[in-house]
Amino acid sequence: MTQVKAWAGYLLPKLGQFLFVVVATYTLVFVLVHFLPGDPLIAALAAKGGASTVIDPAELDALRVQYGLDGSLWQQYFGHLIAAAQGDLGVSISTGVPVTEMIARAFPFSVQIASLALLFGVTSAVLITFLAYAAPWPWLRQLLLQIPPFGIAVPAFLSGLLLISVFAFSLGWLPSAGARSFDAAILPAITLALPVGALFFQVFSSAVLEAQNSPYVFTAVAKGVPPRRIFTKHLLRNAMLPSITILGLLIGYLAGGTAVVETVFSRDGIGRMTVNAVLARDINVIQGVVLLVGAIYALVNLLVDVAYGFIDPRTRIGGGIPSRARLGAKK
Amino acid sequence: MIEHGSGAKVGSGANAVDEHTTEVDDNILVVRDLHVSYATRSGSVAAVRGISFVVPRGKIVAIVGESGSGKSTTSQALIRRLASGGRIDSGSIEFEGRDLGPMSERELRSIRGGRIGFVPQDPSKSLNPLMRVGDQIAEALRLHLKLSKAEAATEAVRILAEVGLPDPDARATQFPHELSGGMRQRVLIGIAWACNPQLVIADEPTSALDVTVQRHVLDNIDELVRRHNTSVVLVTHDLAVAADRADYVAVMSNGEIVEQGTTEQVLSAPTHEYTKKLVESAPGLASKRLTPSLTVLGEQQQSSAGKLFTHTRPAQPAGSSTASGAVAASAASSGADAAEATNILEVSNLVKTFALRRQGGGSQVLRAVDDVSFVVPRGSTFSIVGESGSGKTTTARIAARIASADSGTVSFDGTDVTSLSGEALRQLRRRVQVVYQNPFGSLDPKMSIEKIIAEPLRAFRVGDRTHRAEVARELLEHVSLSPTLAQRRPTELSGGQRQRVAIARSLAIGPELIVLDEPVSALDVSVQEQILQLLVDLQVQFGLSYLFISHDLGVIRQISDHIAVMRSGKVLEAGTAHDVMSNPQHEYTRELLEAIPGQRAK
Repeated sequence: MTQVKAWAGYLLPKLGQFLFVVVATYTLVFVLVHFLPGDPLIAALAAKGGASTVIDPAELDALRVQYGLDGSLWQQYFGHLIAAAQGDLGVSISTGVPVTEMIARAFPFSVQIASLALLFGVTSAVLITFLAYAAPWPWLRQLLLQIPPFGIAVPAFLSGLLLISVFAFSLGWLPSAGARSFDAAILPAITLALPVGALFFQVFSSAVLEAQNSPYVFTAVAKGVPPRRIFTKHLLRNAMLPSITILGLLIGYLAGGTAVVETVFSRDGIGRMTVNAVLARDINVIQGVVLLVGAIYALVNLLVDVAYGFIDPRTRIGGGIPSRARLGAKK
Repeated sequence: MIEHGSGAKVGSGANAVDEHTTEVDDNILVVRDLHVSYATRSGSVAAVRGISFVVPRGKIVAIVGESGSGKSTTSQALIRRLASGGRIDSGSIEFEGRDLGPMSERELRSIRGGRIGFVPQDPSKSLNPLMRVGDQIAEALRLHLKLSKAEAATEAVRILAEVGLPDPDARATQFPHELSGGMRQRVLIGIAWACNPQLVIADEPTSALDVTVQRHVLDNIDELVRRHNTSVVLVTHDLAVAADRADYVAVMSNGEIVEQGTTEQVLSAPTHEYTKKLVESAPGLASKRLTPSLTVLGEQQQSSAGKLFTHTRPAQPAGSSTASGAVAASAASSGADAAEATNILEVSNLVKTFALRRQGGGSQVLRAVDDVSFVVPRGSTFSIVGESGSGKTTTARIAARIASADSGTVSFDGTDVTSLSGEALRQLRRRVQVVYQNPFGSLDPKMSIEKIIAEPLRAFRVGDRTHRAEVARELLEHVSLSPTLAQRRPTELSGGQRQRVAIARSLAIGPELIVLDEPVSALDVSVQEQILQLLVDLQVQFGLSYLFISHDLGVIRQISDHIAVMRSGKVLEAGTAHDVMSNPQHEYTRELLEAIPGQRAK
């Protein structure tokens, strides 16, 4: 019972933070869209039909109702908020399809490459770090540590095009575009994994190399623990603590950062949908996407906080603290 | 039995040991002419320079030395695991007749933890924070004894019981942060002894612990040694610990063993200069209060001290600080001016609480200082002794008006200063100064020594720049530092020199009371003694009163006129130094006194 209470006391404020971030994101986008000069609907219709489009005022009013852009700003603000909470993000101005439906269609494609990219990036970062850790010579270690920064230095459109020309056109192993088969996700995932893995590597490897000089690793060595076990049992989890924060940030980045890759590889996805929506000044879609990314971002951070509790017993809830009081432990 | 190094006269070298097969069997470890160096940017630096010693089976050999003597490097070399950049240049380490030097890492791994255990220095960092302590012991058991998971877990609990942890079943499932420092060190001792090794290397196993805990942990090691007939290499900076626990002592200085022999030999009749100095300055072994040196007393009569300090009141007459605490108190009161209060500082009924916040709501109140009262007679030294968490530092901070109390009063020189604030409080700082424990953290690394010392003068706009520089130089002389150091930075100075600078800074503005918060506990013993002597001399020269905080009764004994013993925020016992030391009333005080290492040497 006390455990449940302690968890509730820990999680409820975090949940509050989560809701606050989502509502604040929504508010910010709403304010931006509605207080920018010009009528958003007219701008969207102009983008759709060309600059000389003539619209009948009565027809315009009907369209306003259709797209949920009628009524006072307060009505719109709260109306959309309540609708969004019920899963209704309005209708796209440029395509006429409900935004929720558009997102539901594009989202899996983005998730596919984003999670693959995360898998590739993190795995290779851990692998290179282990090799550097186990490297018998200092020069080899230095060399290995210098590789990943390239991943940040090379922009995605360049690495993407290079991968296409080698693996799709020259070798013909993988498709260069589309999103129909699983194969097609590999090249974009690798492209995306380069910067993601490199950023993760920077934090993770320095955490590992720092932990390597710590007294508890000395204790493990003096116990006779072999290097591989020291890495997996002693270093990995300790180095995960600082790394998991950057992992949360990276997932947030991936939620919105797929635009370039999806454009280069002509894939459907959230990123490409956003680019199109911006070009068409389709405010309902933009609002929906921003709200989605904001929610994912806040959710991931919530999960990171919870994960901390699982990995690090010092931040764990309940149990530990009363027992400490019982011990009357000294510092 | 123990081999004598370059500094000793008796030459029964390792070769001589080889000739007697019976003796070879008796020596578990034979180190011959070991050289270790570290690669640094400016080339290779020798840390251990040709040491030789043997460890007989079932005996404790202490390696004693101050910081930088190479003793920790030696301990790490014995399991061939040096810090990065370190390498063994030459020499041999024979463990049970086999040289560890040419062994492969794989062979070494079977020896480390299996046949040579290691107890590291810092219990707060030497356990993996994310692993249950039972698992950390079981890890060694599974590796070397090939126990199954369940067997190892059961055995780990038995080991925890053996090293004296109460309730070992529950402890085994706890994480390091849930245990106290002493318990963590016991866990580490358990790891070292887990696979019943022939040799255990203990590198400063108790230096980070409170003195009463240190005693229990060392007792525990003694017991394990007896029960398992283990040999131990005990690395320590504390000669008194070595005196109590070791059969043989090797004294290291500058990477060399300058003297070795049986503990009785080395301690009762040291032959090397360095050993003599070390024996003399060990606070656990010395038992007298320091008296002002003769030169200071002579100077005092000519009243040459403090001639530049025109902004301060004239120095007090000498004689207010003498050997006996009781005399000091009365002398101070009789020697004081009529206008000045007898007691420079009076605190009464101080209470300070901290709310410990617990996650998931609820809080717990910690009474860090609980109804503490004491008086500091003018011109004398009042010491508060206590272990970590006793509230001694918080009390000192309140007395110096750095922290504020929840209730109670602090009066300085007869005036209530409890609620001073703003400019009035700032002016109080002219009369009350503080010297902190850590001479590395308390000096701004970017400032020159002269600037550091003159800073209080600048803050109070005393004199012009040249005058301040002159005062700084004079103060450097008073703390026995060369005035040529004036333009150096703190990083170029040793720990002892830095603490002298900190003391000089506290003197600059001409205070009457100096609060000394563990001023020597970060220093080597031989330096400790010098600093304490300096403090005693300065007290006479400038007529200072000290509020001295320390965990070390050995140090307290050397400097105090009055002593208060604190535990859990309360003063358990207070009185003149002589009374508290020779006739302790409270059981805890007796326990503290008994825990001072060096009892066996007396």
